[in-house]
Amino acid sequence: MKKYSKRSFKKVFVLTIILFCIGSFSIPVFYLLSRCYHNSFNLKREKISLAAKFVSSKVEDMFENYEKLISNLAYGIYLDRTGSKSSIYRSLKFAIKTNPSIISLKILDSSLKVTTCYPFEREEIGIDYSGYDFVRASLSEGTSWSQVYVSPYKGLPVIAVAACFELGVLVGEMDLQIVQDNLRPKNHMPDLYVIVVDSKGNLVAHPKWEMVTQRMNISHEPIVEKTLRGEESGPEFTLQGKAFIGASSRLNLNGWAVIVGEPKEKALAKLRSSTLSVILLLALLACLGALIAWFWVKQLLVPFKTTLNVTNKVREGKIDDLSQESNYKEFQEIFDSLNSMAQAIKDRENALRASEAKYRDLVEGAVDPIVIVDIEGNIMEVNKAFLDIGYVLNEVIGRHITDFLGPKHKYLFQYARERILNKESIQFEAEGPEHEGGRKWYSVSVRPILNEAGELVAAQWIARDITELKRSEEALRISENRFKELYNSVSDFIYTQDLDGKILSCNPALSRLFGYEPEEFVGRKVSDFMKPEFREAFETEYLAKLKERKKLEGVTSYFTKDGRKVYVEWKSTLVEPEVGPPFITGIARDITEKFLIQRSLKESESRLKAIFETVPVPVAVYDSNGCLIALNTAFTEVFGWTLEEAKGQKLPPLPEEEIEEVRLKREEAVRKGSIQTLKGHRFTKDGKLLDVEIYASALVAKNGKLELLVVAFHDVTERNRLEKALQHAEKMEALGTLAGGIAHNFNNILMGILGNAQLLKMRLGKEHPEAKRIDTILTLINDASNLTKQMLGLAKGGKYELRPTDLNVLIREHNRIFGQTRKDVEIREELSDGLWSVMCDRGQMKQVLMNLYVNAVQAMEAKSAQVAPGFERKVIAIKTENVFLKERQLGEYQPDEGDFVKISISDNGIGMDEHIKKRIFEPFFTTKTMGRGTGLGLASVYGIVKNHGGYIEVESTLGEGSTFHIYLPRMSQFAEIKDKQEKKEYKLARRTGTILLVDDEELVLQTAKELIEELGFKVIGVTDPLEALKVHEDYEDKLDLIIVDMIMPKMNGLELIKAIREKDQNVKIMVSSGYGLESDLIGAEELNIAGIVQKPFSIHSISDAINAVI
Amino acid sequence: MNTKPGKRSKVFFALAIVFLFLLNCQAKRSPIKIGLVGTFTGPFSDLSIAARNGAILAAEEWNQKGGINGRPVELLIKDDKNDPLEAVKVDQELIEAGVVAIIGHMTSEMSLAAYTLVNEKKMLMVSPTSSSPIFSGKDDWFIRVVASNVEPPRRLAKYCLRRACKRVVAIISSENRAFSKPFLEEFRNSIEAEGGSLVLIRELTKQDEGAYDMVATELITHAPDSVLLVLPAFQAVRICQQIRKLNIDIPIFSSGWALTRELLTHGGRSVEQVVFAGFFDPNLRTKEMLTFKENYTKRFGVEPTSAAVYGYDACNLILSTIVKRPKAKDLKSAILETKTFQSPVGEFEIDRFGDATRPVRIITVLGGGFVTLE
Repeated sequence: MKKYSKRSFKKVFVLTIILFCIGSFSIPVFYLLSRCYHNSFNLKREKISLAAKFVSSKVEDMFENYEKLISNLAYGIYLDRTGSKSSIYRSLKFAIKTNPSIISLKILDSSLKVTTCYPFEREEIGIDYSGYDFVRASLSEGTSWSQVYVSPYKGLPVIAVAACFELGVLVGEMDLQIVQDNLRPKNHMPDLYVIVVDSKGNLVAHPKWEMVTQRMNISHEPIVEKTLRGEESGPEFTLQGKAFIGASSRLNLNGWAVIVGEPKEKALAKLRSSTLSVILLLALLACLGALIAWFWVKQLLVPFKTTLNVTNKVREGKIDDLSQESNYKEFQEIFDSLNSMAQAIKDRENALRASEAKYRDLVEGAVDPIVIVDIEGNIMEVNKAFLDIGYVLNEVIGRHITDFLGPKHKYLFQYARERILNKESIQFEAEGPEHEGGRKWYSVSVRPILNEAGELVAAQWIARDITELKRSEEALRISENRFKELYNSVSDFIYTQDLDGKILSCNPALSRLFGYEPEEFVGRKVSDFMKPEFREAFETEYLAKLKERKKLEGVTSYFTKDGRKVYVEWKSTLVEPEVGPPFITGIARDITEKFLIQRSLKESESRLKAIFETVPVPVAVYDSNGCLIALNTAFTEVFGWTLEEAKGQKLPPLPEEEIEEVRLKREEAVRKGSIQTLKGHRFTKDGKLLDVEIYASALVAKNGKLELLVVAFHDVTERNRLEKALQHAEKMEALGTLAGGIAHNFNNILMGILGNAQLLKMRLGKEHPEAKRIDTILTLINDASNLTKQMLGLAKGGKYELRPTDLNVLIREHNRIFGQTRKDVEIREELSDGLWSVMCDRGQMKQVLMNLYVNAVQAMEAKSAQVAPGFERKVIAIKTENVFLKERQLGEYQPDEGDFVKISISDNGIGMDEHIKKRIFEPFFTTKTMGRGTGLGLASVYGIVKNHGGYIEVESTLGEGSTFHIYLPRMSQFAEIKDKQEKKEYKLARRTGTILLVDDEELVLQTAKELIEELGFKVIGVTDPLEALKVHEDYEDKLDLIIVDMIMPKMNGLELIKAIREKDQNVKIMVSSGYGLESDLIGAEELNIAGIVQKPFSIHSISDAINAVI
Repeated sequence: MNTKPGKRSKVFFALAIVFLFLLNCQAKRSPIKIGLVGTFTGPFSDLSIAARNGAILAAEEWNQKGGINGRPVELLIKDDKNDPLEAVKVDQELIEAGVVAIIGHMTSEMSLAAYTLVNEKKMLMVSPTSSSPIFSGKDDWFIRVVASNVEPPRRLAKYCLRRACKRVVAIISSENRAFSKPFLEEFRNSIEAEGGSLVLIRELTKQDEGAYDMVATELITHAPDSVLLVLPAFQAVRICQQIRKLNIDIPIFSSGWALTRELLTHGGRSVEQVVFAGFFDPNLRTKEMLTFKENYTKRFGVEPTSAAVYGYDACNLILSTIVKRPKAKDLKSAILETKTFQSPVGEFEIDRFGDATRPVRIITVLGGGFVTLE
């Protein structure tokens, strides 16, 4: 019996009835129940929220009362300020007695130190409370609350409130345990949680006391975070993983948060328990309903069962007696219908048998063999024609149809079967099995045999003998294939076209070229593959001419399917057959590669020529004899020769000493075949010698002989010059830094010696027998100081006191003084009128002139002694002029373009050779005998000029003399020239005032301090800038001047001044340094520096500087 | 009717799969428990609370990132009340609660009390702040993220000598001898080797309570040129207050024990220029340190000090190792094999005995904040 996987009507029916019974009364009950639950829940929630808000306000009141108490107490103490200390103490005591949560009260003085406390603790008197944020905050806010902290004296967590009043600050500390007790929930709501946190989230009160004592922080809890932000929360929230009903609020008093709530679980416990009871009762009722429904439904299902039995009989063919009786009218109708259905089936079976007999007669009379097979291919029946082939009926029936197909065609059965299963007919040709007279070919047609219901029951195979027809077809095919092979295998293209140019046929080679399948290609015009502009020519030039001339040939470009361009050489002929329309036949060949190579060769040649011409490096091509045969434009530009001039010559010429090297390199180039490089020199057409880097490449013939030599000459003359200039500049920079460093430290030492010597001199008086020795020391210090100035001149940034200067005035004055000391030297002035002013340190400029003059005099004396005995006429010529300098105009330097004042100082002395000339500006380089020169003169000249943004160069011829050219940048035209040089008389009048002196060198500090004190000032000397800041803060506005050293290890002068200026814009500040100052002060204008003083300073220079400032 | 048993087995199979899946989910979601013990109440709690907060921050960060392989991290916090018996009791409770490791204790004295128990039970204890050298070089179940306190007293002694301080009076706490004694010994050896001396060693006991002014006066009667404090912050503050009250401008040096935020709060100006030797660089401005500072301050309302960093490091050390270790490997071996760990103050190393290496810093208080001197 067949089993069904479908769901049972019976089960569905039963379940539906049961569910209906339960649902009809349980849904309304559920609805009512849930309404009751929600109402009760909301009532409970509102009740807790109200209680929470009430508790929150009580908490706020409590803290407010504490604060008021402390404030009032402070006010009371203030009112009683004239009273004795014991009366204050009594007040404190009273306050604590009446408020047990306050555990200590402390009165702090204005420096926040404890003056009085209750309970009295000796240890606590005098301790400093300035570390507490809330105490400091009370100074500005009046009253302030602390966070929770552990008292170091009690060891307990406390909170405190500080109230500022006229006598200081009153601090009251509260015991959190008592605060906690005050917040404990009352009896009517024992499960209420009260949590208080300070503004940082530290617990002030919590039902679990250890959470407070352990100073837990719950700022991360969303409810706390929200409340501390000032947002009210509730009525439901989560805290420490538990759900609560309640409320939270932020205390306006101190920004703390109060969270009051009851755990949701506890709050709703009773409500949940009653709900559960109702649900259980409901479930019981539902079960009872289900049971009743089951019995009722079972009775209803009996007629369905009877119907099922009748239909099963029909299925099994037992249709003789299907009569059934039922109590229900509807079911009786069903049984009667089933009975009529069984009678109809019997009638149809009889009609089918008669039809089958008729069909058999038709098959037996057919000429072609006919076979009836079942769906699997087993032969059921054959007709007489089939047996006539030579088979016996008994041997055939039951065999498989494939036994009667040739071995190569057995597969056709599966093919035919698939079609038959789809109820379709099929026809095919197949070989028969080996039989008398060999294999035979049949045309087989197979069709499905269907019953009346349209179901497939068998298949009919009808075979027709076509053996003769097959044989003649095979002979024709073989012949055709031979031609096709030939047609397909040739690499040239063979095609036919109609007179409109459409391809009628082509061999695969042609369609392959165009990237199409032959079928796609046939029928299209070849002009479709041409550029659109050529298509018209195809019609007129090709088709028209071909019709006229009958034969035509040419080369045409086409585009293939993938967009590639191909070139095809073709020959077409017009064929006019006797039968059929005329057509074109032709043969063609792909010549793309050949064509492209030819074109590429032409392009490559043009490109090479363009490169050769445009390359910025001179390139020349020489033949095997070294004669020039080609050159490029750069060659003409650099060397001057054109191709016409140079062709056939050995150009450019080279120095004699390099000829051999060049010859060897050329041989090497020929031997190795690689590019050879060489550094050397070449002459230009106008005779200039250039530094060149040469790259040569040889083109060598198969026999190893040189054919061509291609040579590139890279002109590196300028690059070499710049490299030398850079090396020199770097060397001078390094030496300058070194010299500056030494000078700085040396200055500090001199400072100490100078100060001490001056103090000694002042204290001993002029009459002391050793006073002269002190003078000698002072003179020597002066010499040493000059030496350090020379070194500072060389140092980077070593300039100070820049002023607008007319150099003509300065030179005249200098010449006058120099002329008085060296009357044997003639000074010739050639000073331009209208000379531009320059910004310079006049002292340093005089030093430059002096050094150059002394140098000139010494050179002339040397000439007199060595080169030209009797030479007496010593002339120094000095010339000034305005010049405009362009780039690369200044020998090895590369100055910015602009206006300069040029000073040229010439002598007719001994002059210098190239070697000396290169080194004269190096520090400590001297040509003089040991002890006569320091080697710093010209070095400092170099440094000073460079630090002024200028340049110096020297021209010299041995035995004839030297000329130094100094270039100083022109000053801005708008600056005023102040040329008042007043010689000051130093007055050592005693002054009063307070000066803060900052210098990291203890020795320098002490000496300078004593010097300034000699002037009458009170001096506070400090070596540490941080200490200086503290002194400045302590003295407030009592400082008249601060003198700051620029270079200090922890904090440099500028940083210190910035720090002072942040607090005080008014105090006068002067800077001192042994180093050049100006570069340090760039960008320091806003610091309002009143003056600068150069170390080492004498009592006069410091007095002068101070007088100028205060 | 043959189909019924088939259907039943299918339903049963489906239910079994759902049950197993739910069981698996439950197992995955069960938290990874880590114990956290220290002295969280009383006057010695400052160091422990800072370390605890650091560990809490680390655990919360891991939980925010989805926990350890989907399991949340739960810190079971217990207070040892600075009592050795309580320390052992709470450790025992934590072991019974099934913790994978214990972070703590925070003082060497308490760690020493718990030492035998954790080794017996093979329970990994990672201490953030117990720096006594008595734990060094031992293959045990005690690992620490702070370095042994051998180099700091030496460096402090050298610094002291550089400040021309040769007559030093020392004041030590009786509460944490496991730390203070070795510290003092190292300091004494170093200073005596260079010609200095400890002219007095004074131990603070409960009898001195309320009479710290007397203790301060007692110190100066020995004509010292400097004072050495081996005290927790609360005691250090009170001694400094009393010394400054005497109006004596004497250099004060201290062990890193007092290097907590409470020192600044309660000390005010009296702790200005006190010099410490520790492993913490308050001037560090790396991106990691700034992020840590920002997160810690946001969470706890105060800036972190060294103990907070060590607490953070201890928790991260355990959790990062749990994530990376192969299942078969125990936690201690995995930590010792990993060796190098990340910290907001830069990488630090744990040697084969579970001792950390960190650079020593000389720190002072300037303008109400800590500043690195060396």
